Amino acid sequence: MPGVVDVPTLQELNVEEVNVSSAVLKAAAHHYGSQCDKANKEFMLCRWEEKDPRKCLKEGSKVNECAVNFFRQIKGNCAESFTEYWTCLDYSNLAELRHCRKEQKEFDNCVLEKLGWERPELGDLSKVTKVATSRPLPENPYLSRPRPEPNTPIEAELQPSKHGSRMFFWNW
Amino acid sequence: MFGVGVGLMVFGYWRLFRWNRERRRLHIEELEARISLLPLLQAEHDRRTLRMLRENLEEEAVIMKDVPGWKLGEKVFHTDRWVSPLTEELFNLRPREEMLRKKFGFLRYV
Repeated sequence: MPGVVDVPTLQELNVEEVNVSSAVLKAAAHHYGSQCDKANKEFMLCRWEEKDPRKCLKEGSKVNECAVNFFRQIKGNCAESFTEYWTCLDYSNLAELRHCRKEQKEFDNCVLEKLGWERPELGDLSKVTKVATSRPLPENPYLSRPRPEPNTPIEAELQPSKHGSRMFFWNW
Repeated sequence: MFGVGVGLMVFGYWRLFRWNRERRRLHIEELEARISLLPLLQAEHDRRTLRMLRENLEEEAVIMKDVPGWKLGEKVFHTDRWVSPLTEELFNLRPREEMLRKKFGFLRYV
């Protein structure tokens, strides 16, 4: 008989959300990728290994914490240049980064001076990384049944087949 | 004459290849923006589905209060692993527009 689905309570799901629109996120994306790298990678690793969102709520809340801190730091230090950058991006339908290079350079300079963050080079964010966690690897995340035994090794002497290969016309 | 034409064409091709490489670099930049934002979006989406499941469970408790033999929050499958809920299942008790928006909101073709 099937049991009951274990859904977490609303209390556990209450996390401080990043209350920000899409152009803002895209504008800050590159710096966000290099700054909040650790929390992001841990969350994605957890999600991919456990294959269950209920087990990764803690890492998810850490991701949110990191994001909220990130935006707070930007707002505290480089608010005007950031506002100009994301309003420029927001002007077009698909926010194309190449139309706003001037504002991007200003924002990058401001962030580099005040916070010491460097914009990652092209291709840095898509590199494959190894993540070190204290969480142990889950065994059997798919909860599969026990697998069948492998075939026993062949004991007898193997002879070459009598009339040549029977699979002459087929090669699979 | 012919040489001039061929020369112009070759020059055009060279410019085209250079611009295509530049476009590829710009496209990679935009994809990287999406890559770096993925954990945030995934976490928010997870929280949203879990929140909707929880609200549905509480609604179910209220609605099926007087039905005899109804097991609350019963699984549809026999397994213990996490099964991603269907959009119909999540948006069951909400207006139809929300479900349609979730299903077809990003779709521009028919």
